[in-house]
Amino acid sequence: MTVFKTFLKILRKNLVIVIIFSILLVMFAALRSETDDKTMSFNAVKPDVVIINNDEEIGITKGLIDYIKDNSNTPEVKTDVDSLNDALFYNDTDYIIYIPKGFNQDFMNGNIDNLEVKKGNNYNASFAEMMISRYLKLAVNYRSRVTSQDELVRTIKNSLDNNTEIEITTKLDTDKVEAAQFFFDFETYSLLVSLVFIIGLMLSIFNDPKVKKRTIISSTDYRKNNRILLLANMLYAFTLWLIYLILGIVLIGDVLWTSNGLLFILNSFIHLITVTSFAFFIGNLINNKDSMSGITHVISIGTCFLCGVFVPLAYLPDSVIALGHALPTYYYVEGNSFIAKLEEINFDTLQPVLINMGVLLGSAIVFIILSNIISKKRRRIG
Amino acid sequence: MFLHNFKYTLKTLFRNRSLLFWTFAFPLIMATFFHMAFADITEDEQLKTIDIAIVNNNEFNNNMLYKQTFNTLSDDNNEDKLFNITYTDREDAKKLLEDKKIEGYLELNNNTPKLTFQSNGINQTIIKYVVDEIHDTEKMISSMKTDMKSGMNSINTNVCNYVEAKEIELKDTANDNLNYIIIEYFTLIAMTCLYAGSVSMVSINKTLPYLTGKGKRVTVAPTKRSIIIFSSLLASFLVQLLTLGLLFVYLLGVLNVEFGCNVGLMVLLSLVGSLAGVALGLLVGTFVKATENSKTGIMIAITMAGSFLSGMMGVGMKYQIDKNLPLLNKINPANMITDGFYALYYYTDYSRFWFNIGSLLIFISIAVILSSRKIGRARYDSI
Amino acid sequence: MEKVIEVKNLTKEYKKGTKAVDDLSLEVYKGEIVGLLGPNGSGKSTTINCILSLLKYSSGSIKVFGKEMNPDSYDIKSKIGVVFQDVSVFDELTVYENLDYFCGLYIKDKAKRKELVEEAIELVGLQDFKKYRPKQLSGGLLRRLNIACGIAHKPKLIFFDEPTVAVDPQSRNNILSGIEKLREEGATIVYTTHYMEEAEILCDRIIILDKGTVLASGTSDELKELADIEEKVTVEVNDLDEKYIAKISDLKNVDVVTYSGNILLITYKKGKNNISDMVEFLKNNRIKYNKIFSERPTLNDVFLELTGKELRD
Repeated sequence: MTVFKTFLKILRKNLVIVIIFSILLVMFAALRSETDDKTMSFNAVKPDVVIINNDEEIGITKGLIDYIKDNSNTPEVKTDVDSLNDALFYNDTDYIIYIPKGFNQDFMNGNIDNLEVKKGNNYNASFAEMMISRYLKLAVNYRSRVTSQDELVRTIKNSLDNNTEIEITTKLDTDKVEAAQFFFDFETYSLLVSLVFIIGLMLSIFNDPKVKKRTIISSTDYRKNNRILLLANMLYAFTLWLIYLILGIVLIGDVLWTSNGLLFILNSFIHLITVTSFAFFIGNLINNKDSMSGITHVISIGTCFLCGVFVPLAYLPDSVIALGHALPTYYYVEGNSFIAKLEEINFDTLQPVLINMGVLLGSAIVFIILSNIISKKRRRIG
Repeated sequence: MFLHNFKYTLKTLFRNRSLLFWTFAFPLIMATFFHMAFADITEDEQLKTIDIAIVNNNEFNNNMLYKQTFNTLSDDNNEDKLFNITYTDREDAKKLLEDKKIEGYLELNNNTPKLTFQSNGINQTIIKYVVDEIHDTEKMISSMKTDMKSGMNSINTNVCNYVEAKEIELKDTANDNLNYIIIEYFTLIAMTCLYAGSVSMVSINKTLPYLTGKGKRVTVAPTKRSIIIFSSLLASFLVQLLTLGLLFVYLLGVLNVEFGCNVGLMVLLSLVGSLAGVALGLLVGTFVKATENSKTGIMIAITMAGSFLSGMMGVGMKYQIDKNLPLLNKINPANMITDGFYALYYYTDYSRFWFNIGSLLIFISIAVILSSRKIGRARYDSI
Repeated sequence: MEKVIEVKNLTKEYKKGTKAVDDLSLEVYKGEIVGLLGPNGSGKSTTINCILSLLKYSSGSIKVFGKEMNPDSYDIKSKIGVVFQDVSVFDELTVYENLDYFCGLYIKDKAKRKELVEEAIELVGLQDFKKYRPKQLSGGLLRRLNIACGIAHKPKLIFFDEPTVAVDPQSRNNILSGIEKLREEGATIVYTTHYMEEAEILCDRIIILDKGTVLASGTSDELKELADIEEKVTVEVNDLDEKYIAKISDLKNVDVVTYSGNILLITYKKGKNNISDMVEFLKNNRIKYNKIFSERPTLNDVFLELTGKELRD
């Protein structure tokens, strides 16, 4: 039991780090569910447009404003220049349109040939421009053939009204599934830091020649000690995974009980096995506990950048993706993206998910074999 | 005395391997990761061509308006090319959609267009807009037809031209410097500045009698402690300058990051930021009572948390904090530095930049005053 | 005799109200080795830290070399050397560099410093380890380095705070003989320890502390006078009849007799020839015994007498 007690003692000493990175996970997930970060995923149907209107809200001005409001979201942004600039820079708004004083009159008289706008640096901004141009184009074309502003607004509205028939084939609540995907992806970072650091630290402490000699000569069986250590580490990993799962249930909710959600959970459990065995490998490989924190941060941040945790796979250059294929976590993140798109569950559709899970399990086995080889070698030398 | 301590402080700092890793190697490793991960992002932010299918039935082939518009929009020579189109039958289109080869498909039946998508999304919305617009135009033509009794074909061509035209120009007055990925590099510089804190903390640990035995030795020696502390801090600042220099050489020379802002002011901000880092290390060093190793751990955690809040692991975090919890970022030195760079990069006037420089100077003063009150105490209550 | 240290009515009270040092007065004279002896927590280190002006104290006065001691009494500080309980050296610096750094805080002149550092290295016997880093040294060698760092600048007054804790016998002998040598060179030495044997061997005068106050002070022999016993005789004997125990108690000079296991312990208050009387008694009564030996009282007995508890657990 002394091994187990020592384990708990070391864990308690370093718990702060585990807690910090768990809080990061919660913050990220909470932020994501609140703002749905458009720069990273383009599922928003409406762009964010801020209208700065200096004209009276009548006639064609009102028509334009109503139209924009119908077809966009109006973000809550303060309208001073700095706040607007910040909002545009950080993609809190995609587009800002300024309507000058007297626009409704000037437009009807044909005295307007441009409008001042600020266009963000993203996909939605181009889309917003397309949306606004459509209205202005119709307005210009109908302008000469109507007698009043109200008639113009009515005509445009009439013309816009015939919406195209659209059929949506999916049955998934894509927003929620994507939130779940995001959570499970980001979990990688917290899990990597917490597991590699703690398990690595444990093994390097217990593998310290001085401590090792003492355990070897102590009355308890050396192998039994190792088994207890292994068990303690696995228990720790499992507990952490369980806590994150509960966090996930609190933050994301019922989507986890759908078949997609259960697959996410299964995938993250398999990934847990891989990460744990990887942590064992690192712990056996590195014998210096002082360098453990540096190694942990480089491995975790590196993995998360290269495997699509911090930056979605779709935006990574091909060369990085090729590099990512060498890391097991890549197959976890890719597996999550497959799961997020699963419409119906059958052998055909599950195949890519299962293949990725297989790769994860395979690499777990490789890490376990490597750890064994290393620790056997060490024992002979030590 | 000053030089003696300065020389040996440098020696101990340069032989502290884990410190060297965090200050010299770690920022370069992070920069490399940023460079790899973000290389493609900005280009991807512009409109991409969208893969769609169109059911190639008689009705579509006979409708000149639809046919020509989609032709134009999928023309390789068109700068604003929007679509890659597969013309096929309905079954095949369905299959393509299921296999996620296309974003959606269009079918014309009884003069009404029908779009089929798998899910909602911006690409789907764009497709819908284009079809809606053709539909608008069709309507306009029919109303025009009553006005102008001219042939259908010539009108169609005119219509197609004006679908492309904009009579009211939307004039973009936004700053060209809109690449928010650059913020990642700014947070990296900010992080490096704050790592000066780990250096200065290590360098003054040896002077504090209530923390280390070395500190007791230094305190019982007949030397003014203020001189020892000042020379230790200066040595750590020198180490920091080398770190920063290396980072800038790597960012500008190897990774070719283009900052597009005033170099002189960037250097000024980095120097003030590094001083803030040194002051932070002084503050943590004097007030946190723990072993040297755990103190370094705490210092790294503070630095990482500060960098996280100023947007290092996702620029959105900085904006959300700025917008919703502004106070938190106003007292976060990592954000003062990052925000200063942001102001240089994006803002045309420098008031925000100087505001951040001012905040940093206030932070430095507070840290120095608090710690010197603690250090300056002649005798301690407990050691 | 010249007083090197003069502490009067020193009291150090911590915020929680516990008194680490309570109205303590002591004097140290030039050229002597004074031992501060007491169990852990008796206030030895606190007293030294107060003398060194590291700790605030509640009341009392401290004079060193005849002058009031303050944090900026640099002229006094330059004549003091301290060897702290914990090894306090830079892991990043070699043995030589560590010595050069700490000595450099006292001695500016480089040539002079070099000489002093070499001398200190020789004194503690680290000549073969000059280029070693502390991590490469064994515990005993590390202690020697720790001592060398405190004394390299040839101080007139040296404090040793438990310098031999957890040290191998060879290093311990080296350390003790080094301290003797320093005294021969004219230094005054204050030595704290909870090893009474060390204090007995090394110190001219011993001050016994407990709960922050001075219990007694004097030479080893003077202190032993305080103990109310003169001699202890131990006899190893099997199956001793009860009646003999009563008889022994009645013998001349005998104070207390105990018999447990097979050990018969007789404490004498005063007198001579106690052991020969005892041998005589055993022979006369035909009691077979394996061993008999006599001991003088130790400082532990003194401490036991004064406080009712053992010096060491």
